[in-house]
Amino acid sequence: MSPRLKIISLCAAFTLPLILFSSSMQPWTVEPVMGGVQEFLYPMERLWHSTSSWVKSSIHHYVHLSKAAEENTDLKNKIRDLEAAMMDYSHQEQEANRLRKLLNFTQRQTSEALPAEVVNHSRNTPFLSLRISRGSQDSLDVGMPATTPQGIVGKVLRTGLYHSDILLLDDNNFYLDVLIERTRTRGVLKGISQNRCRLLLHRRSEVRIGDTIITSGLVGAFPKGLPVGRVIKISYESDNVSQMITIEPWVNPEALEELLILKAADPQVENIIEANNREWIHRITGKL
Amino acid sequence: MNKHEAHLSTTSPCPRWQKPATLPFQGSWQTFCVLLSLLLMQFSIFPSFFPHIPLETVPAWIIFLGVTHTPSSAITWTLLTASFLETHSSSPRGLYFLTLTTLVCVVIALRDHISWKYTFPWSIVILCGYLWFLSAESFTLSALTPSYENLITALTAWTTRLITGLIFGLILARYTISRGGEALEYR
Repeated sequence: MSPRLKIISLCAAFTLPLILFSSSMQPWTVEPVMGGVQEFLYPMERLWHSTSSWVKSSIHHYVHLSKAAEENTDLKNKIRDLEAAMMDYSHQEQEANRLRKLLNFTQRQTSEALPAEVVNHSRNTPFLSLRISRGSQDSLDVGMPATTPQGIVGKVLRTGLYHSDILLLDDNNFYLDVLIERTRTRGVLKGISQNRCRLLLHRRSEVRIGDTIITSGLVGAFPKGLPVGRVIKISYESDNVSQMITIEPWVNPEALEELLILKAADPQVENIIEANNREWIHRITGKL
Repeated sequence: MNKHEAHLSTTSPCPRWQKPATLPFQGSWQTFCVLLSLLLMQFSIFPSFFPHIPLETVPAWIIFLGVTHTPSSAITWTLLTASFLETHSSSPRGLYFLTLTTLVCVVIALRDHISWKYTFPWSIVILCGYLWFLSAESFTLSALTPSYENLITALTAWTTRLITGLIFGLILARYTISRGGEALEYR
């Protein structure tokens, strides 16, 4: 290699990643070339996860068998209580639907939920994400909500053939339109790491420690009313105009083993696709 | 005359970058398999045994590539490693490309002036490499969300990653020295 070519390639090696880095602070989402590299790593991760899970569950089953009978009785009691509660809820749901019809409210759309297994947590970087065992083969798409019965986990960040990565609720690049359940005050939630989120509201908005935060269903693919977290700290900004609410999500991603992906499309993106035809969006996302 | 002395005598008077035949992990497939194994160990195997101790293998691996591979090969493998990291986390695009490419370029530029057959120079370079890598991550994190809490937690995690990384780096360095350390005396 000639000295001039060497200098040019060294300069390129420095400047191109710098341009790439400074152009956006967002993670990779749709990347036909970049996503391909993970197809080599994922089968090994999956194999390790299956083997270690099998070993752990075998140990758990045989070593802790003595507690099984006691646990079984407890669970039977819980099922009986839950069945009674379910009966009550189904009556209430029917009543709510009847009232919605009477008042000419739009019916809420229910989206299909796909269960997925958590294969990997990337713990050794400050930029956390979860890897799950469902991918584009299962019709998963970027932006679909990831939830558990306790609350929201995050949304699909990128998809591989047989796996997807989840952008967590506390990630610095996560934004979500939310409501305070008690007062119906609306705001935009932002992840701030360490299993915490932040909500900036007007100083006069009424908020209390312990208030529950739910999704508003107005922006993005998240349906209305999903639990997000609870208020744990309220601090006032120096501008005397706003108050900063710190929220602890209901779900701790460290302890997650399974989650649900809601196959819900973002209505705004759907409108854009409808207006500009589907080929255009496929060309943009590199799926053609 | 042993193998390393023979190598030195044939490449005198000033042998600049003659890759010793005995160095570990040199073939393309071998390098690729080692890279996959390192990432699997970092992302899956180590966390399942020690969930609260983060292991960081990548900067030490990049320094190893910079020292023992040809410049073009080292840069290519670095770009591949960076692409693995970038598509495995929610980091801003280009962060690992930038930090790792810079690191490998500096190592390539310096390698003719450092004696790689001793552990001490390796440990200094590995320490500097980790400081650069972790500082870049912390700086990006604090740029995304400026908060003291974030910075303090990042610094705590930083120390653990620095220690585990240094231990891993020194193991890799000792192994490299034992396999071809004499031949790594380039000047």
